[in-house]
Amino acid sequence: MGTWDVLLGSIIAIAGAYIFLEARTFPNLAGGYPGPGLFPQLLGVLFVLSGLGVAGNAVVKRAWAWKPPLSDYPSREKINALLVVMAVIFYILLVDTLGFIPMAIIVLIALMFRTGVSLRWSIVLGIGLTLAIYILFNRILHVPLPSGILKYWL
Amino acid sequence: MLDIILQSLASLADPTVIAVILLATFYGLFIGAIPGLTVTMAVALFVPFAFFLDPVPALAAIVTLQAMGIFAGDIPGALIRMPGTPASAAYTDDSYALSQQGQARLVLGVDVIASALGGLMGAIALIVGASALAEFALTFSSYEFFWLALLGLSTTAFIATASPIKGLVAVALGLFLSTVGIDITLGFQRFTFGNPNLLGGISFIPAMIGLFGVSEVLRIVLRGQMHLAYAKLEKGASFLPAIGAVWRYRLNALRGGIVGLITGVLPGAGADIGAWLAYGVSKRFSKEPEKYGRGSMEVVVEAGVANNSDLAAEWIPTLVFGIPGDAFTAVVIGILMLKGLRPGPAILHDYTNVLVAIYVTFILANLLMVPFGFAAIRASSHLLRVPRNVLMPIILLMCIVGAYAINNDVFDVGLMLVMGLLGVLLEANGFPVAPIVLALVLGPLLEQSFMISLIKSEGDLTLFFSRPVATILGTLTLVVWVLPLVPLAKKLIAARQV
Repeated sequence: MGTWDVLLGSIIAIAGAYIFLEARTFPNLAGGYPGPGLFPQLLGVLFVLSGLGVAGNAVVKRAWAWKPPLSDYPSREKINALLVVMAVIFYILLVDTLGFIPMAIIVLIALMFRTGVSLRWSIVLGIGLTLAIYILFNRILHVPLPSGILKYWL
Repeated sequence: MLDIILQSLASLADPTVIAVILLATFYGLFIGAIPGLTVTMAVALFVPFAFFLDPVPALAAIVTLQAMGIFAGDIPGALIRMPGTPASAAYTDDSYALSQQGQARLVLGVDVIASALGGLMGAIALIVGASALAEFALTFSSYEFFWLALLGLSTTAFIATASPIKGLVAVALGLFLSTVGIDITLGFQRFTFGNPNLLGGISFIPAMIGLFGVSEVLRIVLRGQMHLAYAKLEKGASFLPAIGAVWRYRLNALRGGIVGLITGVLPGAGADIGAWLAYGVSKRFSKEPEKYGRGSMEVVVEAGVANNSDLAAEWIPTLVFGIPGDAFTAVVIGILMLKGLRPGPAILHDYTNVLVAIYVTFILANLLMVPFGFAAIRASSHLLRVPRNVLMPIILLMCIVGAYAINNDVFDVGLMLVMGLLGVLLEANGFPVAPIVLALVLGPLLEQSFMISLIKSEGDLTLFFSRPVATILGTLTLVVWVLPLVPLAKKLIAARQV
């Protein structure tokens, strides 16, 4: 955790300096009263102090052992987690074109199959659950889920 | 008053409300019983439904799912030594040890009775406390609100965390996120980086779903435990023996309830803190402290009452001041706002019927907990066998749809993902996540009350201590700031003496 504390603490302190300087350029209220910049400036100071505190604490404890990120986890699981993140990104990029139903089916089947559900069950559950969620949110709760390529059918 | 109570009872007798309460019961018991899935996540995923429902059923569902979820968190704690929710963590070792000694059914029965008892104590405190406090809070000015918000944030940063400095970082981060968007005084754009999606600020619900939903999914996937250990319950009756055990430790139950109420009313301290504190108090005064951690029924009763009495009491500052006790009640504030109910001292006069419906639901939910809780215990081995590799993708999809549903905007799904990754990164490095959410909700109140007070006092900071209640709250806040320094000071003194 040590090196990470130094790294994250420093990032927080630098971000604080940026927030402080940026907020100084915000306008004041009429009559010279402090305006929208005061509170962020104070927060900038808080970022700098707490960030330095976190980094300094790790330095004082001399906790230098460098550990690569997520090194406590097995690599197959790390790839699975990456797949979850990729699935959401993939969804964001393509949902308007392809529509909710195809995207949700792809995401569910891919994630279930990858984490050990059999292919047949992944497909059955992927399609069934997508339709259930679609009906629940779109038909009952009236959330306008993108229809994409299915717009003439839905 | 009587007509309001009758009116509220009538609104609860609506078939929709009853159906919603029953569904929330199953939902709360299910999520609570699955390790890694928290009630906070459950309520965040419930938001799109709350959006759709009327205020009374929406709030009734939240109250029910919270009570059920916190109880059900005890089930995997006792059976496989994995607390279902953080609020059960304090006495997990004891309940697990007891079930290893062949008392699984009894200890879970005790959990149901203790939880229901705690919930009822909390409900009474809520009913009495909220109206008393609201009258009092009507006299509050910006100074008092400033100190209350700051006290809540200080408690969550300094007391409710393992590392106060990291808690402070989390609070700062949440407060910063709350400043993004158009500022209310001058309409000035702060930290929007020219992105029109950020003009309205960081949307609270997607941020919340990211921090508590997506990051939980990622963490469970990373751990890779898709099938949990299987636990079997011994046969036999548990209802009467459980009542007997709670009766035997009735004084512990009472003390646990009081500890829970106190931590609940304190802004910034949630049900997990209530349970840990009750554990500490119980051990300190016990005749058999050596049993603690090795299977003490005494502490299961005391801390089990405490976490449920805490959660009802948390609603007092949430409703009366708009200051949440923990991440769960922070979401409650978000939902109240969505429904156009502004929490604050005026809520008692403006929305009496909604409020009374909340009170009645608290009592109803805790009574329902007894039969449904015992049913959940019977079904517990099945609950634990739900394959998580099927559950995780479903939860991810619910997160995506939930984040999208608030503004019907894919940008919010991106925000959710960023917050989810941030949550994993921070928690892996020992930074608490709950203070971010609390600060995000309290940020606007803190900033407004600070700016108004500052302008009123023309920059004279001593006026922040000019009113009696403000002075008390301000002093309490300063005490909370100094507390983490005490161990440090002790070390320094000890080092000097060597």
